Amino acid sequence: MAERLVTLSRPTSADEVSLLELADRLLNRGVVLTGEATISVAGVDLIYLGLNVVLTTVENLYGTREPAPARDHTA
Amino acid sequence: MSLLLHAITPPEAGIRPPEGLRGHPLVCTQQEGLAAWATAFPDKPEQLTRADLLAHHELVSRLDERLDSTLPARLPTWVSDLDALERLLVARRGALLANLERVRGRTELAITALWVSAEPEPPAFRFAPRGSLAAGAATPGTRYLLQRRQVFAGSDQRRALAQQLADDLERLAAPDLAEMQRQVCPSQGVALSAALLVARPSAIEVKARIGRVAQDVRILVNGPWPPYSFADVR
Repeated sequence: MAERLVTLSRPTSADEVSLLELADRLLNRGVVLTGEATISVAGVDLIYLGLNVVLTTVENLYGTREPAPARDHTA
Repeated sequence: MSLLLHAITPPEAGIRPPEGLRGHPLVCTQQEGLAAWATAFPDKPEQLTRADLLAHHELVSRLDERLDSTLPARLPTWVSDLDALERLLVARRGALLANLERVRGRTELAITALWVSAEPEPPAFRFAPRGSLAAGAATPGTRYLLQRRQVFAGSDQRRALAQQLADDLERLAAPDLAEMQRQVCPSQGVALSAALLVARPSAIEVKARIGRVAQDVRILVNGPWPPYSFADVR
């Protein structure tokens, strides 16, 4: 069971899309050696759900803005 | 101790390991033709932060620059200790070696194509204009379905354009392309999300080549970066 932090918004700039692409790769791709699927990353309020549908965006991974409260979502 | 796995590579004796995340040591264990790189945390943190994500990306990128073949680990992959990590390597040795060969000498480019104009919102139901196909329908229900069909026809047209775009990009990258993953119209506003596995020496040239394609879309090309999308064991 995967736990993901989800907020509903769309990427609105090229920077956001680029960060989304990177974060998607870090969190959703790569070699899997263990069965662990829990994703809980403070301050990263993006995420693709399992169907690879962009529901959310990274506010700014490099920024200093405090993350908005995110809703827990169990996929 | 908990180990946060970063990447699996071929064994390399000549590399001086950089530091791991949050100043903790980066450990490397080698087992049967494979090396695994991980940060040794004295205690497993409750959460990773966005700084940890970026540090992981930088660390994997540095390994990828120095080595000919890298399999980034999905974040977060926690392993209890070195013995457990070595057991995992041994258990999946064949598949890991095959995948290292798959990405050897190659790198990933990420393509996102954004529609320049927003797709029209589906219109609320209303009586069809006089003279339209829907207006000739016998009942309100039929008129509604005919109008919805017109809306879906627009979506189909966009999907066809995105598919054509993906084909064009694949053709442009073909001389240097090993593999391509594509998702056509994965969400509203996004025409195409794709990952290209290309030869390292050609990556910058391919990036420039495909960035020039435009068909009602804005093309964003990220990378080259480690082959995240091609690392998982099939």
